[in-house]
Amino acid sequence: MKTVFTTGEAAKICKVSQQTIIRCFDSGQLKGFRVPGSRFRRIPRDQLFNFMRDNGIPTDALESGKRKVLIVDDDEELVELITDVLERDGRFEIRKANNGFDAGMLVKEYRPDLIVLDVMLPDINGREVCQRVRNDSSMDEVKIICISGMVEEEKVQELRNAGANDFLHKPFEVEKLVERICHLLDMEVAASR
Amino acid sequence: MWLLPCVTREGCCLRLPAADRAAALLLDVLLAPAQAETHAAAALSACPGLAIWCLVHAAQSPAGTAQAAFEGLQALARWLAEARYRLNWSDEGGDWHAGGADTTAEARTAFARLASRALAAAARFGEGAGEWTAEEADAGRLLSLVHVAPQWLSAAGLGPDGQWEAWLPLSVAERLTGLHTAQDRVAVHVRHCMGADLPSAGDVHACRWLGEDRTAVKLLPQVAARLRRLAELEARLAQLVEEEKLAALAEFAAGAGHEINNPLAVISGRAQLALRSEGNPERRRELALIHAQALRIHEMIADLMLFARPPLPSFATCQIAEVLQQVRQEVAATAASCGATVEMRPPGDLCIRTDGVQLGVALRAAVENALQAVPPGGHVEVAAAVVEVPADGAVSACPQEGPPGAGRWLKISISDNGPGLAPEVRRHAFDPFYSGRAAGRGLGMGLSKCWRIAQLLGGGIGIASRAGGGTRVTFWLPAEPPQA
Repeated sequence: MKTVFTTGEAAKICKVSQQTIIRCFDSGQLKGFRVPGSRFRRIPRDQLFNFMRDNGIPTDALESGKRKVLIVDDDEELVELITDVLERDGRFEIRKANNGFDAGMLVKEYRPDLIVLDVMLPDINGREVCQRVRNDSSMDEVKIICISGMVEEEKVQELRNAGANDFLHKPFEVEKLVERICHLLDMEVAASR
Repeated sequence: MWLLPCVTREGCCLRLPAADRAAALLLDVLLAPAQAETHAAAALSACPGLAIWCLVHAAQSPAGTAQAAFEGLQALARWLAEARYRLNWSDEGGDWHAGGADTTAEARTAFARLASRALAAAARFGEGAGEWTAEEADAGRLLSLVHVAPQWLSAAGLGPDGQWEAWLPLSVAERLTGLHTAQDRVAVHVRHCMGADLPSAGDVHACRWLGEDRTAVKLLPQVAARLRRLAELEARLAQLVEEEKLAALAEFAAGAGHEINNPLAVISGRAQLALRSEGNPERRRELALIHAQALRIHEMIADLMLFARPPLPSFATCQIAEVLQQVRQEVAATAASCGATVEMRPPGDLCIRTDGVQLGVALRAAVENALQAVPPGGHVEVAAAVVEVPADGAVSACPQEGPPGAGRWLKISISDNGPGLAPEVRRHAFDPFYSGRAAGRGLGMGLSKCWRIAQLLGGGIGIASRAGGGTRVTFWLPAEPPQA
């Protein structure tokens, strides 16, 4: 398990900007040390945990050290497939939702790093889920990959306009899905398998 | 006697008369489509005024309709039978003069004498029918019947100095001009028959030019107008049924496509996952096959959905000859592998406002469909031309491939000499994946794509075919000039 974090890593875990972490570090709110012989800031794991707890930031990402992915699709077999793919990778923590309503609830509670979002949900449309996430500035850092069986380019563009970061057609290459997730989360691609 | 609808040319309006009984015969032409040609021949034989009127009408027809050489009466009868919906036998607009009230007694007598003379010549020619070949007899009947055309046109309003030749189809005008000097058997005999004495007043009455039976004359314009309306409605109904059917298919495709892609994603995804941990080469091959086949289904679904929800066209100035050239290059390999030739007949340097890319996709699909159907050494021809469709010409003799309406259209026909389509198959020619097609032709999405793109570009598409006699797919695109 990782014991010391850079300001950039701490920013991702807390889902705030790196500048915010640096400000809190410099003002003493977030305790840490500078690398001897340089000015680089480093934050020990327990200090980061205290900081998150004191400021009401959910701490589960720090607890597992894994990136959090929320999978939203009404097709349970497909959710299971994507879960298997990401679990085999080993670097992801996964939650699932089968409709837009549950997805909305989980996004707030779970605060995922990334949502894999089916566009055609039984209750609300995937585009609306995108818009709701994007309307909440506390979730600016959440990445969204939409997946859908539709092919119309205009619809895909609408999704991007609504705030989706990426789009994959069903069926897809499972490796491509992992690749796109890693790319959006600034992770190494090679670690998959 | 009654007057046929006016024929106008360069501001001059001619009113040609017809015998009362011609009206009854024309009703037969209108009401019995199956024997229309036979009834038309009877009507023409009984009424030289009608024959001359048809010739004048055919010569005035807009480009694209009958400009055939009328070598004989049969060809004219065929024209009359085919043209029956186009002829303006309408009681609207006041061009219908059932009574012939505005003609003078002298004119009526003049017409009657001319008619009697023509009928006498035709009858005399017919007496010696045994000596003639079918073609000669047919040509002679027409020639003897209309040999009075110059006098007739002059009595109908052209005046003695009018250029009567310009009112008739070229082939007929030339034949009449040379009639007095020509030495062929038919001309010589027609000259002999023409020598008949002018008929007496009694003969004039005998051919019922001044007859009393007005029922058919009154009915004819009403029946003609209603039949024309019926034909328009039938064509519109057929078009609506086709549009509704394909729109329903498109809706189905969009919904089904989305649903099918979900299980496909699971099948292909599971196969990929299993492949990762599989060491056995045979099982690896099988898993790869499952994955590949799932993707193949996906491609078919993608084609279907593209048909259902196509991208919007992007209109721009487009030179048709360039599009045809591009298509020719794209199909060259397919044509070579079928051992078939593709001939392009572009419409000069015509430019219209359309989506050239989508048009190219559609034309390529249509040509490839034709290439699939032709035998080795077969031939596919792509011909493009601008057609002006007049308001009263929108109802085609062949509704399966007629223009979508009146106006200026670019007509692109793809004709092949492959086996034709049975009527039942023709009805489904544009349905995606229709399974009843003859082997080879149009499996999958090719023609469906053509239909879709033609609709998107504001036009239409038709297909005409005879089982065993080749097929012609016709695109109609609005021939809008490029914007300045």
